[in-house]
Amino acid sequence: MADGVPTWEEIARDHGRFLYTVAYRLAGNDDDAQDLVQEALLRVRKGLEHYEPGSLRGWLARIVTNVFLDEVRRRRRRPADALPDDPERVLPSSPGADETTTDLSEDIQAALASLPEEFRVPVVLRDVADQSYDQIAAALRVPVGTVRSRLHRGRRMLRARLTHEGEPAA
Amino acid sequence: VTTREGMPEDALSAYLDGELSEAERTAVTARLDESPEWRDVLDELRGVRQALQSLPTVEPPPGFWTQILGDACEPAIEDQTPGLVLPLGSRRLKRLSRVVAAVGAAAAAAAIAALVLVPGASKVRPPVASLANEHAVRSSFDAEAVSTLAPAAVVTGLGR
Repeated sequence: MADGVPTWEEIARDHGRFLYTVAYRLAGNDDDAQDLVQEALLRVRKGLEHYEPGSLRGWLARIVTNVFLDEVRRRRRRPADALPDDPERVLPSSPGADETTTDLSEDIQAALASLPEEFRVPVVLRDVADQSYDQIAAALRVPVGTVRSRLHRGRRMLRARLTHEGEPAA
Repeated sequence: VTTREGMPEDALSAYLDGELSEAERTAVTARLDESPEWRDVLDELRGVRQALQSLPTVEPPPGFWTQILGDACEPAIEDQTPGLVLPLGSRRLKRLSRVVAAVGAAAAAAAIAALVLVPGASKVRPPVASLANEHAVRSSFDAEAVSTLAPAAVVTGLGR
């Protein structure tokens, strides 16, 4: 590490689990999470010379989020690349999870994966990646008020899906 | 949802997250005192938030980090994944390693070429590489990231 700026390898080693967890919560399956992390690390490596010491995790969360959104757009442009509707991809086991919490975790993950991206992303950035509203707004290039609204609606939708209640009014 | 007092319900999420101004916080507290509905919503939001925050850290399949970082980094990051098995996507992992190595080699070659072949020719140094790298990292920041997606169909995973 020089001048407080970590190396690519240090970031992968020290923050890899964080990066992978955010990617997994966004993508909902291991295969896509692996792809997201690899692409994110390439962007990290390219962007390190511009990195200014600060919120490293905020920077990493921002990069992996944009990799995710880029991939969502790419697949929508090229439907032939869409992945099969394999339930195992949507409801995977969580390799690091405690057995007693696996079922609940999978329910939450499945509900999360069912949210449209515009609501899922702010929820993951806030409640998984622990980012502030300002950080989320900067990552998504939207006003803080939009983050607040989407986060709230995302949480309400999640609650409704976990309890099998109707969706809340917009 | 906007209450009849004109306060948006999303203030409750911001209240939970400590993202309100002092004046807003006071207003939400007063509203909570008088509204059982708001208290119910707050409890629901708190439950959802706690559930999300309690989700465990996710580990990639065994061998993932080793493929990316090499054996030297294995003990630090894969200490809970003994018995490494080459995972799916290993071709992509190898490609990543090759790309990273190639980027480093190309940068080194360019630096040597600049020193050997063009001595004294660097008075003006447009930051082409820097700009290219910054563009690569920020390429998806150019537009408002989420709203440019297709309409909010209910999807799973990566938009299947």
